Amino acid sequence: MPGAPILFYDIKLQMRHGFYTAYGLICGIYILCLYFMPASMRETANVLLTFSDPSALGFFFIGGLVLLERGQGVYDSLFVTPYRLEQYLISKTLSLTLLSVLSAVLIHVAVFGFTAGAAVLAAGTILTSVFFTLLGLGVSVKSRSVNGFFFLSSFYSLPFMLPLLSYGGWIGAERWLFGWLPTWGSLVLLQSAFQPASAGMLIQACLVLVFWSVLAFWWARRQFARYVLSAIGEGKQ
Amino acid sequence: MRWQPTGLLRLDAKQATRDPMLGLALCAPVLLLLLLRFGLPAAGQLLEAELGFLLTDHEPLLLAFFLQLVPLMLGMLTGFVMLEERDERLIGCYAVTPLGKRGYLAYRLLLPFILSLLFTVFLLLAGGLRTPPAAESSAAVMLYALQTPLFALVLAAWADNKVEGLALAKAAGITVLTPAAAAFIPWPWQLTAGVLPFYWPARLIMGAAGNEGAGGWMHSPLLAALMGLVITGIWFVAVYRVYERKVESR
Repeated sequence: MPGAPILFYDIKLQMRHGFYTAYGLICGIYILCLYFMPASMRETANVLLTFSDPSALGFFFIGGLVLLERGQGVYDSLFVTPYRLEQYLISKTLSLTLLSVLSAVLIHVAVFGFTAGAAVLAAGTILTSVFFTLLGLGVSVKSRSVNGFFFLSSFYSLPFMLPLLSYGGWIGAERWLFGWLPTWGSLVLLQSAFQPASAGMLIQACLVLVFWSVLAFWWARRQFARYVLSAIGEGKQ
Repeated sequence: MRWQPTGLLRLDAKQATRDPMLGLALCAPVLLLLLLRFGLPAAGQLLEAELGFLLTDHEPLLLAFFLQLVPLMLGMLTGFVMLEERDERLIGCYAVTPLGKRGYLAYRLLLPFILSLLFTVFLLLAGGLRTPPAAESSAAVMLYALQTPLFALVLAAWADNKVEGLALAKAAGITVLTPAAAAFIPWPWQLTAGVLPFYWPARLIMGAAGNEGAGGWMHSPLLAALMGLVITGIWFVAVYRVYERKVESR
């Protein structure tokens, strides 16, 4: 794989910046919370927790990563090398997805043991993390500060939170209403770690997540090409 | 000397229109209030219908949870402003103006402190949840507001850049669970959470509800308020030392 060295570099950088230490601590506390929680709530809590934290961590971190590299002028030299924009986007996405899936599986396995559901949970986390990190990459290009990124990203992510409403059982026909949203797919996959969904649901969940991830990749690439690559050499990043 | 801080304030106001930092800071409490007034009752109905779980039984816990979101959010916001000003080497520029490094720090920390004070009072009064007596409430509000500059200083002191700041903010954000420790961990053991400054205002808010039947000076609100001040003070001194070393080393 041609992008492998840069992927390892990204992972090493994230380790050095304390991402893995932070998530070690966070996982420990989540595990304690789930462990002491009434058993009846544990499964729902695990699904919602995985959805809101490990699955979306790329969305949280990517803004700062892009802003820092931009501020340091990394892009000026990076994209004049044979290294391609697509490789850059993929490496950022996969490195953060690795942390997502490790955290999600660690929490699940520590509380529920090695179940068959862990594999479905891992798949759900990977697909969700890929989508959210790519979405974050697209948003990050336009922000000028971490706070600005958080502000912008909350607008971009809000529509994707709609399926959570149906998760509470408010809307019966959620599949027909929200079934085209990536986060609906995330919730279906994460939930099937405990109650296996029908094959049709699972296929729809995967397809919808893959479709939105491809869309997000295309959008992030366009945003970078428009706002970053065009600014290189003009000294106005 | 008086014009310099106001100059920085004007700069921030201008910044707020271009880069929505202060804008976000001002939106956040309104969002919290909406969540408290509309989201919470809806969630309460749902939980009661689905699980037979009465949210109103845990009102003090919820109040403590919502109140501490104010210092967490504003502290994080401020921390990132400071980290970015350092990444862009702006602090050195402020340092050579009559404002100086200390003036800069005082301004950066004072504004979010005042905002937190206002926002926590606003949430307490307008949130629609049962509030503890005025004395306990005021002490808790003061302690919560003090957490804002502390959280910002923690980020500025320990993180080398905004990316490390994100990791640190994520890890430190887990203190959001402190009120749960005060509510669910049995009595002397929950005191281990007392090393975190967030524990003490949470105790003040939940005081009467948290320890039904238990009495004595160990449970008095006055002691909780004093302990909160002492623990927060110790943290401030320790973190400020780290911050100073970091700023001097540049």
